[in-house]
Amino acid sequence: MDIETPNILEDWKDHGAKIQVYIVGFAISILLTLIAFVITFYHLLSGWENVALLIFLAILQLFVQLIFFFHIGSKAQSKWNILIFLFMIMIVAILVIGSLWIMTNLNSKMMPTTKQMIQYMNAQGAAL
Amino acid sequence: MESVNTQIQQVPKYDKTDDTIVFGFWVYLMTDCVLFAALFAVYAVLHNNTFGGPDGAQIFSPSYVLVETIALLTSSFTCGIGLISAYNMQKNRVIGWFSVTFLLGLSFVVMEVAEFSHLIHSGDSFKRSAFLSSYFTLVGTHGLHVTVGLIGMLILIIRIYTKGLTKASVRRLTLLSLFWHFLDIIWIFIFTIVYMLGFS
Repeated sequence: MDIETPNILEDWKDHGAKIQVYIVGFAISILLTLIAFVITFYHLLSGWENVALLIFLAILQLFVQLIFFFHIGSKAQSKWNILIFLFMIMIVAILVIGSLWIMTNLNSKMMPTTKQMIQYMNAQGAAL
Repeated sequence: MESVNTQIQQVPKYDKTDDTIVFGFWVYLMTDCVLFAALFAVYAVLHNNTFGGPDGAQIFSPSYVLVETIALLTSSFTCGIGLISAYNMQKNRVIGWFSVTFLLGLSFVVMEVAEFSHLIHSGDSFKRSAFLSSYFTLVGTHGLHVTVGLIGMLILIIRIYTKGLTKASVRRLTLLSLFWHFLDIIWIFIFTIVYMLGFS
């Protein structure tokens, strides 16, 4: 029983928490941050591509830090930790995607402003 | 008596309750993620509603934020090194590395407070627009978490300095490191979504 589920602190001491692991994780994180900064600072990309690449770099860094700093996937990380993590990802996805979806829909269905209505009526002018 | 003494001298054995405590803290961190997800969603919905006020590109300075980010990233790294020292029961190294972590975290908070006070004094406070309200709420909540982490870190450093590295303090350092790495991850998303996307 004890051999199958080693203590988390013992396991980190033996496997995960090594100085090399932290150095590699730190180097990759700094590199990803600098790439995102350079892209933004020099306006290398614009519009949709810019948003997609920056979000991709952030998610990449999320996984780098989860693996190198949180030692996720090391054997002492029980399946419950992973399960709770995946559940959190699901809730976050529903919350963020759902909010944006609903609010975009609401915006497009909002009553137009007075200015927009006058413009519309002027365009239809002849009939009035 | 002698057996008791040798037991105290030994490197502490970790027991099963540590697993339960670390798991409980992990669950807390995941629920905290949900809190931040709600604030990110609010920001994403409101970030265009500037109400005639400034938008992100006008008030954010990418270089300033890059320095903040590197300070927090480095503190996350030194925190990890400190934790390794704790597992190897090197008391002085633990105090040293966590002091470095504390100073880096403190400089992060000071930079953030300076940024906030600059915005408020130039008339772009959280009252100015929905964009600024959501910005202050999201970034401020993260800053508050970092501040709480710093207070916890200071108390732990003092405890270890006075009472030495005990089994309980190694466990607390583990939890604190988890919290600190978690705040680093949240900051990466604030850095990307608020600052980098706001600036471009």
